[in-house]
Amino acid sequence: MMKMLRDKDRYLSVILISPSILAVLIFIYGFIAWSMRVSLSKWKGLTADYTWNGLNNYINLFSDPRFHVDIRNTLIFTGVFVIGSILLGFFLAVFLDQGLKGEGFFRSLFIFPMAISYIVTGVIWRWLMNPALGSRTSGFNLLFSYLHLDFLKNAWHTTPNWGIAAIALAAIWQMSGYTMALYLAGLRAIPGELREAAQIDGATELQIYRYIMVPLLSPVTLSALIILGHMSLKVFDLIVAIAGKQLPLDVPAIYMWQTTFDGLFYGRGAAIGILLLLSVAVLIIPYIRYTLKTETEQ
Amino acid sequence: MKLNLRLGKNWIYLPLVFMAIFYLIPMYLMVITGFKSFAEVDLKTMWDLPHGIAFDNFLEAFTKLSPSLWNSFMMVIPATLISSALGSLNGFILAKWKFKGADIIFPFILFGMFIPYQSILIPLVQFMSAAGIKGLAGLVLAHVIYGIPITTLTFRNYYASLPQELLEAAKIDGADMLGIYRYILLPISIPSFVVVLIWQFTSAWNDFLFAVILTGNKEWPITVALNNMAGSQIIAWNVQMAGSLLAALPPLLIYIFLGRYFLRGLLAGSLKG
Amino acid sequence: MFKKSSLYVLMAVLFIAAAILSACGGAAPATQAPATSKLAVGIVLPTKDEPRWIQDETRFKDALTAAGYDAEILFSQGDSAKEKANVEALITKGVKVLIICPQDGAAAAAAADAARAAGVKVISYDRLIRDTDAVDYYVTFDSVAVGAAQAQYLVDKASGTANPLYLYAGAASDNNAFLFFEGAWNVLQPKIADGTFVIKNSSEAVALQSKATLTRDEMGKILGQVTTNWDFNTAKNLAESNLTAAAAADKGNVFILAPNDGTARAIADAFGADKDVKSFVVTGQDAEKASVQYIIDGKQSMTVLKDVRTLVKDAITAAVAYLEGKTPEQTNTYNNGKIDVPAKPSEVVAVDQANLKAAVIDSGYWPASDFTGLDTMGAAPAPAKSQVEVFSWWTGGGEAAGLDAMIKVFAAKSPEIEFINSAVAGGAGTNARAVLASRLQAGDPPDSWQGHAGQELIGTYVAGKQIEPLNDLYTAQGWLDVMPKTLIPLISDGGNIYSVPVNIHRANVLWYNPKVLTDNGVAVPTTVEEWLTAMETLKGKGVQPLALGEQWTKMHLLETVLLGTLGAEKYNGLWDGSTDWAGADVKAALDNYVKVLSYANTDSASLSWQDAAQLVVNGDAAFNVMGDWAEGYFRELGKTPNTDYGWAPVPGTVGVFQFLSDSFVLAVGAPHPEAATAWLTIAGSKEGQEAFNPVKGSICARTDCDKTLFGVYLQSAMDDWASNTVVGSLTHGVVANDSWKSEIDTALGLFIADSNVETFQGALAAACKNSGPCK
Repeated sequence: MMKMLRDKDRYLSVILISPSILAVLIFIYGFIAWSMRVSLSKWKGLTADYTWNGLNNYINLFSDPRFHVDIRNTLIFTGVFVIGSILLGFFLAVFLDQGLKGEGFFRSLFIFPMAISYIVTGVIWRWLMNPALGSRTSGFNLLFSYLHLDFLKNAWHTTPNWGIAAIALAAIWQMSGYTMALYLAGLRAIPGELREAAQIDGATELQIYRYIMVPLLSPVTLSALIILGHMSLKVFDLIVAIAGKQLPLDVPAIYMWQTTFDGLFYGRGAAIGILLLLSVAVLIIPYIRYTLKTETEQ
Repeated sequence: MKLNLRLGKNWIYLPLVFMAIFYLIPMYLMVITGFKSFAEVDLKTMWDLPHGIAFDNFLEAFTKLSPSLWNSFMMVIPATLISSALGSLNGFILAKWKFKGADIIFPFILFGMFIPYQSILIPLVQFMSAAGIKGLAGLVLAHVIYGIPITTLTFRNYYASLPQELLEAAKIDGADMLGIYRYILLPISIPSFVVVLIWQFTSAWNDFLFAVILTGNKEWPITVALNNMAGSQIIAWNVQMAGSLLAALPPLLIYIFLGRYFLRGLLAGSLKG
Repeated sequence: MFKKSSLYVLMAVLFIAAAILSACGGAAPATQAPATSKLAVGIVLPTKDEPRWIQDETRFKDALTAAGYDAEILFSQGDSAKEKANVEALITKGVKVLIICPQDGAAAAAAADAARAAGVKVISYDRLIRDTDAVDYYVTFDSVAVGAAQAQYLVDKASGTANPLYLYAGAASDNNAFLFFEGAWNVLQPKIADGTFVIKNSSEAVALQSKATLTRDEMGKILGQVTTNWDFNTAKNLAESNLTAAAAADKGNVFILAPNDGTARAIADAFGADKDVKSFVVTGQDAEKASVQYIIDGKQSMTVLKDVRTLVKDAITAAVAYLEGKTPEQTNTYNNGKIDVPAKPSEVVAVDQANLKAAVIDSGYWPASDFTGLDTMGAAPAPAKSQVEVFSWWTGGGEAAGLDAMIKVFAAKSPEIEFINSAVAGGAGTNARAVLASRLQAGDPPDSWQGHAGQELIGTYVAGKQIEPLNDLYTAQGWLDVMPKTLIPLISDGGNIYSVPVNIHRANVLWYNPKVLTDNGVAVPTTVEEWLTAMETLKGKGVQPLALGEQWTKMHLLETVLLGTLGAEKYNGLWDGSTDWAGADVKAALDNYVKVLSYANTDSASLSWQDAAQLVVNGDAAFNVMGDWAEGYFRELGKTPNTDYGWAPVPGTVGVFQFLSDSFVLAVGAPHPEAATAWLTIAGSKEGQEAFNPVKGSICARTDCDKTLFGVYLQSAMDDWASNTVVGSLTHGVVANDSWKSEIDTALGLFIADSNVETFQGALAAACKNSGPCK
C-alpha cells in the first residue's frame, strides 16, 4: 500500500515537473543550440548565413584586445558586486532580524532601489560619480567637499582600469536589498529552538551566527550567488545608462550587443554569448555539485 | 533570539542609519530633480533643492505613462503568480521528492539562465510568431519560462534547508505528496514566496527587452513608455525622474505589503506539532 | 431602342426577318413571325445547354420582336455536323445574311464556305470562324480589351513589389482564350518585368516573362499549364494543385487572373479556403448572376461586363447594312488564319463593387431582385480600416514633435489609415536597435522604419534584402526633380532608389561661446592650425578649450577632424578605398586628432553629448563639435543664437557640408504595403517635410521648402546645403556600413584607452579591409 502510494507520487512528481523541463528545453536549450550553431558560422549582415566557420569566431575573440578588456572588467565587476552585495545583504538581514522598531521602513527602503528603472538609476549614478574637477565639481565629489572629506574625492568610473568597480557600487546599491530579503527569509525560517539550545549550551551570539546560522543559510547563499552571478555576467543596461558604450567599461554583454546589433557580426556575437555560458559552467557547476553532495551527506 | 549585549540593541541603529543614508542619497536626488523645472536641471546645482514644489512634472509623466499602466498589471500579475507557483512546485519536487536524476535536472534548469537574452531574441521572435502567440500572452509566457530557473532555485534551496523529519512524520501519517506540499510545506513557505514574488514582480515590471520585442505599441507596458520618455536627443530629466518614481510605486507597494509576511516562527510551530 | 435616323433600316430588317420566317419549313421556328414576312436572316447558336446562349436567343428575339423583324434561330447543340446542317437548311430557305456563332471555329469553315457559295453574307458572331475567306464580318467584344481590362484591374490593385500572381486561361481550342490572354499579358508583362508581380504557377510564363509580345505558340505553351478548359471543376482542381505546390511565402496577398466568371468562382473558392492566403484579387468575365452575387459578397473582385444586348444590336446593325448593300462600319480586323476579317468590336465594362449598381442593375442587365446584400454592399465589404506601422527612434523632444506634425498631415490625407507609431527610444542604454534587427530577422517587419541615408541603408537593409525599391513612387511624385542630386546616389543601389529622405542634418558644426571667445581675444578659427592655437591660448587663460562627451561624440569629432585635415576629396576617398588608411595623410589627420583631444575635458567619458554641449552655452568651455541637432537643444534650454552660442564649420571644413539624413523605407513583406506607400508619399511631400523639419530642427531634404518657416541657424544651413561641397558622415551612417563603423568604433575605444596612434591607424586600415572597400 505504502509502496504503491510512493510509486504513484513518484510518477506524479515527474509529471508535475515535466512542463517546466519541456519549456526550459525549448526556450532555453533549443535557443542556445541555435546560438551555438550561429557562433560556428560566418554570419555577418542582416541575411542569415550559416556558412561553416569552425571555431574561428572563438579563436579570434581570444586574440581580440577588446575581449581582453571585457574579461578583466567582468572579473572585477563580478568580484566587487557579488561579494559586496552578499556581505551587505547578509549584515543588513542580521541587523533587521533583531526585531527592531522601524524594521518595515528599513526593509522597504533597502529593497526599493530594485524597483527603479535602470535608465534613471543610471543617470543618477552618472551625476553622483561625476569626475569633473574645479568649478564644475559635482556629485559625490561635491558632497565630499561640503563635508570636508576631500581625500575621498576620486575619478569614479573614469578611473583607469578600475572604473568598472565604481559601476559595481551602483549595482550593489540596486541589488543588496534583494540579497538582504533572501537572507531575511532564510533567517526567519531557522527554528528558534536551535538558537535557544545553543544559547543554553553557552554559545555567544557571534558563535551562534558563525557555527549555526551561516551553515544553515548556505542554500540561501547559493541562491544569492547564482542570482547575483547571473546578473553580473549579463550586466548591460546599467553600464550603458551610466557611461554610454565606451571601451574602458566594456563587458562581454555590451560587446556582444554591439557587435551583433550595431556591427551585424552575428557569428561573433553568438560566440561571446556561448563563451559567457561556458564560463559559468566552469565556475558554477562544480559548486552546485558540491552543494548537492553535501546536502545528500547531511 | 536577540543580540544580547549590555548596550541593548540600540547600537544597531547606527549602521542601519548609516546604510539608510547610502540608500537614500540617490533617491533624494531623484525626488528633488523630479520637482525641478527643465532649466534648473544642471550638474552644478544637483544637490540644491528645487525653487518651488510643483507637481507639473509628475502630472506630465502620469499622462504619458497611464495608458500603459494597465498593460503592465495585466502582464505582471499572471507572470508573477504562475512562475512562482511553478517554481514552488519544482523546488519541492527537486528538494524533497527526488526522483532518479533530480540532481541532474536541477543544475540543468539553472545553467541555461546564464545565456544573455539578447543572443536568443531572434529564435524567440520566430518561435512566438510560428506558434501564433501574440502580444501580452507571449510576454507573460516569456516571463514565466525565463523565470522558472530563479524561482525553482529559490524554492529548492529553501526547501532543502528544511529538516527531512518534517516530511517523514507526515509520510508515516499516510499523507501523499500533494498533501505534504499543501498542508506542510506551503504554509511555511511564505517567506520564500515573498522573495520570489518580489523578484518576479520586479523583473517583469522593469523588463524592457522582452516587452518591446514581443508586444505591439498598444500593449507596451510601462517600461517601454518610460524608456520612450527619454527621447533620443533631448531628455527632460526632471520629468523622467518623476516618471520613474511613479513607475516604481507599484513595486514599492508590493514590497511594503509583502514585507509584512517576513514572519518569524512559522517553522517552530510545525516542528512542535 | 434604336435611333430614329436608322428607323428605315429597321423597317427593312423587319421585312427581311419576316421573309426568313415565312420561308421556314420543318426547322422549329424560334419566333412566331407574321406569315407575310420573308426570312432574310438566319441565326445559328452553339448550344442550349449554356445559359449564355439561351439569354442570347431571348435577346435576339426581344430585339427583333421590338422592331418587328423575324429571324430563325437554330442551335447546333455542340455538334459541328449539326451546325453545318443548320446552315444549309437556312441557305435553302433563302436567307441573305447568316449570323453564326460557331461551335468550333475551324470546323465551321465548311459551313461558311457553303454560305459564301450561295451568296449569303456571313457574320461571325462572338466567335471567329477560322481558316476560311468566307467570313464577311465579325461581331465581337474585343477579347484583347477584355484581357487588358482584367489585367489593368490587377495592376491597379497591386502596390509594392513581389506580389504573387496566379495566371489562369480558357480552353486552348478557343481563339478567344488566346486573345484574352494576349490582352492580359500586354498589360501585366511590364509589371512582371519591374518586379510588381511574380508569377507563381507557370514555369513557362516565368521563362517568357521578359518578352513583351508573345507568339501564339508561346502563349500555347503557357496555356498548356494554366488552362481551365472553361470548366468549373478543371479550374478548381488546377487552383487547388497550384496552392498545394506553392510555399506559404508564395501566398499572402495574391493576385489572380481568371479568364471568366465560372472559373473565377471556382478559383476564388479554392483560394478562399487556403489558410496562407490572406487576401486575393480575382478577375472574371461575363457578369454572370452567380458572379455578380460573389462580387456583392466580396468573394470575387471584378468581372468584365460584355452586355450581350450590345452585341445583338451590333449584329443586327451589320446584317441590315449588308441587306442594304452597304458595308458595316469597320474599326478593326481579326486574322482568322486566312484573311483579316473586318470588325467593329463592341464595348466592354469592368465591373466591381464600386460601379456594380450602375453598370449591372441600373442599366437593366440584371434585376436587383435577383441579388441579396445589394443595399449593404457599400458598407459591409468596405475593407477593414487599414493600418501602417512605422518604427523610429523618435520619442521625445523636437524629434517626436516633428514626427507628430508629419503624422497629422498624414492623417488629414489618409484618414482611413490608422498610424501605429512604434517609436522606441534609441538613446543610451536601450535595446531598440535589437528590436528592429530581430523583427527583420524573424520575418515580422514593421511596414516602414527610419534609417540613415547612405551605407546604413544600402550596406545593411538593401544588402539584407529587407527593403523595397521606390522608383515608381519617385516617378509618380516627381521627387527626382525636388530631391537634391547629391542625395539620390546615397539612397540608391543598382539603379533602384530605396528610401524617402525627410531631413538633412549637418555634422561638421563647431559650436562656440561668443562671450568666452571675445573675452579671451580669440577669433573663430577656420583652419585646424588656427583652432589648435586658439585652444592653446584659451588653455593658458584657464578656460576649458573643448567640451567633449562619451565615446560616440569622440567618433563624431574624429570624422570632422579627418575631413578638416584631408579635405573633401581625400575624405571621400577613405570610403571608396582610394585614400590609403595607412598613409601619411591619415597619419597627419590622426596626429591632429590627438592634439585636439588633448584640449578636451578630462571627464568626457562621463558626459552625454547634451552635458558637453551645455558646457559651451553655460560658458564653462569655449568649443564643442556636434551635429546641428545641438541647436535644437540650445533653443530648448532657452538660449539665444549668436548671443549664447555661435556656430561655424569645424575648422578646415569651410565650404564643406558634412551631412546625414533620416529617411523612411518600405519593408519587403510589409503587412500593409499600400498604407506604407501612402505614408512614404507624405514623408516625401513638401507639406509633410515643412511640418516636420522646423519642429525637429533640421532642414528639408527637398529643395523647395519655404525658407521663412525656419530659424536663423537653419536658414544658414539651407544656404550652405545649396552651395557647399557635400560629404557624408561616418558616425551617422552615411559613408560606412554598420559593420565597418562598429570596427572603427572598437578601434577608437582601444585608442582612447591606450593613446597609441600607430596601433589605431593599423586597426583603422584593417577595418577598411575587413568590412570596407580596401583590398
